[in-house]
Amino acid sequence: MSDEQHALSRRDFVRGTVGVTLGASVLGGALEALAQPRMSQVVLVRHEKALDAQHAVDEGILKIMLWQALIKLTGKPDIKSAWLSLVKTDDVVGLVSTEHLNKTHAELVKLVRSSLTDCGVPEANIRNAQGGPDKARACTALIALPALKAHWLAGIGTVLKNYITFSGRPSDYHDANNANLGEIWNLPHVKGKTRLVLVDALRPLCDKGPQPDPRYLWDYKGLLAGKDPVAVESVCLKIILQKRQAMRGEPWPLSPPPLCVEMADKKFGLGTSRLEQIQLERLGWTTDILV
Amino acid sequence: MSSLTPSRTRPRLPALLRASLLLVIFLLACNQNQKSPAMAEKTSLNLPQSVGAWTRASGPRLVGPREIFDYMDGAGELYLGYRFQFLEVDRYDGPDQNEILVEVYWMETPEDAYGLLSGDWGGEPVDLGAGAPALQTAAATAGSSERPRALYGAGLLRLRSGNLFARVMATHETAASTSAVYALGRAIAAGRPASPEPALALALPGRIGARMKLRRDRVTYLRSHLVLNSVYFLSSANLLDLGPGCEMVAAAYGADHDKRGKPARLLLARYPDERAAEEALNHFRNVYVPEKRQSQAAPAGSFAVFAIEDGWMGFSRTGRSLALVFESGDESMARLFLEEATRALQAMKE
Repeated sequence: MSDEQHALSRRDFVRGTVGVTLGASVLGGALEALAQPRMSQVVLVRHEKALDAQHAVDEGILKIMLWQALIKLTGKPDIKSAWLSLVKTDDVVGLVSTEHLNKTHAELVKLVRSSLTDCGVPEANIRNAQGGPDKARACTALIALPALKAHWLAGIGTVLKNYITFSGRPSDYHDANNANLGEIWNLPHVKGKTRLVLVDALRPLCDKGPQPDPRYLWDYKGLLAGKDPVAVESVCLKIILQKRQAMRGEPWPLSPPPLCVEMADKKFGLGTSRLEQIQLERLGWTTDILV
Repeated sequence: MSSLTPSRTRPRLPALLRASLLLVIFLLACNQNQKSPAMAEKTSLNLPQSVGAWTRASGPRLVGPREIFDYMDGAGELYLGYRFQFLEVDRYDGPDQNEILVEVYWMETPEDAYGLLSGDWGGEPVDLGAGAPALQTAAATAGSSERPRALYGAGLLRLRSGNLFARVMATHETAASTSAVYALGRAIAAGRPASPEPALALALPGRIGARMKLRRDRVTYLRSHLVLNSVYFLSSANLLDLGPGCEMVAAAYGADHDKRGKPARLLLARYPDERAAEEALNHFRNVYVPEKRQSQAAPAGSFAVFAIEDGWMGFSRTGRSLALVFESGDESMARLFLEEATRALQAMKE
């Protein structure tokens, strides 16, 4: 029974007391962060021709989208100064893409890599960091590159879940503990290293799987960029929920509820999950934007 | 001779060693695709070497319960939750890099295979019977009370056949790939028994009172609390003591012609014995509604209804069966749900 004192129930979720159940006493600094007025910026760029009818990526258009996103996010005048406001040329930069369920498009990973080298980061200092804690330890900067998707055990499996292998114990987060995915971002070998969260929303997956079902993939043709992982995840969540409702013509909530998003905010202080604290910049194609 | 002896004996040891090593390597290589005795006993599929423009790329890869997480990451939890035995994976190479992936999951019972299909009743119903037209028409399925055995959508065919659940998926959906996917589905189902729906799923009342109607596309058969949470989140802990020895159906009921209204939920569960059911109910009560433990509203008996945050809920235990209702609009409807469910459970054969 002792473990179940912290079990989350439907009633906690309905009452809005998830944070209390998960242990308000451990909030510490997160509570202080909550007391400060916050505003996180998220940039959403879409282009109608980013994918063709066969869902193939137009790499030229993708490059323009990436540039637009980073220039808007950083407020810098060009892509080089945008990148160099995020990483240093002597950083060891880890690209953390998603390899399961709905994979990050290889074209996006390749583009980020080439864009970084064009800006002066040596090719040898850019590596694939997905796969385990040692990969994160070896990097001084991380770029999260997940693909937008729902997840059958966590509700949403995009930004926060993207670092699950950095825990070294992924299966620990497959059950009740998936609400605690945010704690991975505070591990010593991970904390403070994430310079950019760049979500591949070209062709998201709006149902949870656990294996990909093409009926729930759709061409959204977007990229989302931000520095606050919780804010980016919250916008992702909104897009997924809106798409689900549009698809079924009735409310279709995620089950289990994506508790990890609220917890990353209230328990782990990683950023804001409140849409009113997120400044969403929309660029480009607006049809069926959903958010 | 003496001079020859060393020359004969010296190389013999390395040769033996080499032979042994080769044998070990050969056995290890064979083991990659070797069926365990249990697998060999049960596999009887005879998938074609080619179908349309698609050709089988390699023999089946066999994945057991220990390797399932290597094959599909955390998705393995779903199959283990349904008493998974092993998985056969085949790949068919086709034109324009359009691969067809065939995954056949061998489960312990037909009920487990049904459970996997019941996670999502969406898609076009498909009739995989020999000689039957590929797609059932909507009119044909509308008159049938039985749920489909195979469903297709956007290149993916999901089907159940006896104790098999299968996914057959084309990378890109075309008319030709759809035909090939159906043909592979028919090959999987060929000669296999047409198992009925689980008795527990059939026990669900079709209607509760005059207002609430069973949503036939929202009925999931399950054994694991992770699967329950994926269709109706109750708790991150396993409050109902679900597991491989239990079975449950989770269903939604809504008012006629009101898809947008909040549905009520009915869970029917059967445990191995009466004691297990009683313990599960006590566990649930103590953790989910602790404030009701001592109250008159929920005496120590096996039937109670009460109001909580999201509506009226209640439970009823009879023998090894348990019924729970959630999000009912009012007390009388919650009672009616439990009475109807209890009657249906009592009518089931032990």
